[in-house]
Amino acid sequence: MNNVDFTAMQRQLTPSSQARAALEARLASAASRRRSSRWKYGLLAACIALALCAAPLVRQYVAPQHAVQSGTQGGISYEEYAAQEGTLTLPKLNIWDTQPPSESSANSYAAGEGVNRDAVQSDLEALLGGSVPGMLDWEGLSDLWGYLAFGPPKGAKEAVQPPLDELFYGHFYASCDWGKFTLMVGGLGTTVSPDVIGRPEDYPGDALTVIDGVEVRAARFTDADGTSYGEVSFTMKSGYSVFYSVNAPSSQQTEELLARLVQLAVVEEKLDPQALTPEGTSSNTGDAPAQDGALPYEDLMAYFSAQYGPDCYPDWFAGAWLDSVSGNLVVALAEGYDAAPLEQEVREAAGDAVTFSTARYSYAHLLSLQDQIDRRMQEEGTAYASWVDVMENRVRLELDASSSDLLAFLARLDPAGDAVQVTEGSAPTTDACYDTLPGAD
Amino acid sequence: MEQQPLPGSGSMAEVIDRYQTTVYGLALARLGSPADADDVFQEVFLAYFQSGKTFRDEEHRKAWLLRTTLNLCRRLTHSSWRRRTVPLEEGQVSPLPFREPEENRVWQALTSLEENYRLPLYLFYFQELSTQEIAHVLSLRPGTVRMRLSRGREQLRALLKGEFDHE
Repeated sequence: MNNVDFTAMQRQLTPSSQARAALEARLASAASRRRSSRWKYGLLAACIALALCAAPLVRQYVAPQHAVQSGTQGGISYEEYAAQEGTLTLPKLNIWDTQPPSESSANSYAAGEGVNRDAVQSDLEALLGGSVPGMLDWEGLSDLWGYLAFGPPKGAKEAVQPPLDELFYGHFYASCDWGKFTLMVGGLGTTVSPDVIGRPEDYPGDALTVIDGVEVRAARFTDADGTSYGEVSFTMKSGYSVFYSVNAPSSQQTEELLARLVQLAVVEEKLDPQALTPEGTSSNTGDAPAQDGALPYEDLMAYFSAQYGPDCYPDWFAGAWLDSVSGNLVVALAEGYDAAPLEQEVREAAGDAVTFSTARYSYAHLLSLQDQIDRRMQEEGTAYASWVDVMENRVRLELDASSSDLLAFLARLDPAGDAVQVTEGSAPTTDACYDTLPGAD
Repeated sequence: MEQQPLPGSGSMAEVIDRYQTTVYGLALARLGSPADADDVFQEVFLAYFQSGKTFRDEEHRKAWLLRTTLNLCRRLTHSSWRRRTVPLEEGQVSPLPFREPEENRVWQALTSLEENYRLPLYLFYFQELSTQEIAHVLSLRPGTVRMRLSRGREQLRALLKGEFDHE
């Protein structure tokens, strides 16, 4: 493989000669039409120019604006989500018995050509923007020990020095009054390799979901020696990736967290729940309800995929999730359809342990809205997160700041104002960490 | 793949010559079907021509073409027509696009990966995009791209049974 020339391979990826010929014919035809009706386009261009000139005034005084909530008031926090899911207290994370990382484990991985120094608690808090520690019940932190490493990754091809925040890696060992754990934080453009936590190559599966604007990935795998591991990772709005290594299932709190993440992941990502279930421990992890409903959910998704195509959903389907109390699958049907035959269809696909609700918007419609929002947000250049909240039957959009143009766009996209929930100003900041970087101007 | 600036905005033929492998390759990596990739290839350059868009530089032009390719791929896979029809080639084995057996083996392994991993790897190795550029094209955060590259490499390495050491 070392001698595989990807550039040479890329050069061979050419369209067929028939496709090229057909394209040239279509282009010639389009050009001909364009020439013959050039005056029409001139007129159209003049109209557009006039409209564009007037657009800002129209937008300012006429165009409706989509409602936006403050990040401190609107939206749903992780704690609220946990409460809604039936858990009153958020499980603490990751009590496990480990040893502090060696200096070389940080240095050898990330920053052979950079700057390394000891980390202090304020580094971590600054890097995480105050979000994760609170979310994970960070109270009682008594000690933090580790290394920060800055600079190009070891073995990087290019010696060009990018911005410091693109080349950050931190390896932290922390202890508090309820346990010890290790976490790793990687900056933009820096790989935090699962290898650091001894992850084998053949992990059985993982899943991604979004909680409170944070992407969360949960994975469970078994090492070559039979030791079970769990991994929880977050990609923060700040761009930093956070990996928690979750050790053998001796800690109930660890298992609670994994079970919760699995439950979310199964709903959002059609994950195989068996792949993430700790072997022999499912009876005491509290995630049995999630497992009960997960298989019908998968059956339903497989049915949709076979019936309508991959990632395609019928217009009557408004979403599905697992009820945290009963563990049953809940399927929402879009309003305006005859429920009886659809409920029968769902039961035939997913079994009888399904309950139903109704919702205004179809899941396909919400996905379409999210897609349009994502495309628009590329032009906005602001940090954001979007996802379909099936339980609320709406698209959730969180962003640093909104513009009047964006809110007008969202108002056109969601004229009723209930299909998209916009939350502003909720992204965590990492500005404080730059003051602590050695050598930073 | 060093690129020279196109004269002016570039004639259509020059633009197609320069970017046809870029567009077609991404479409093929995304869709897996040469016929579908041919279709997307045509639609992308028609859209390019009809848009009359001007670009700051070649990177801007390339990024636009890549984004448009993905959008049109998505439109193709989500079209109701496609959902209701069975392509003639379905069930048939598409001819492998490369000359060397090893290249075809790498391509087969790559295309067997889930899209989440396949596209970042393709853009990184074949298109030689940076993680920032991949993040822009795929509408992901750079950290997510790095994560997927890392995991995609692991899976590719496993599929190729240890022969994949290219970094």
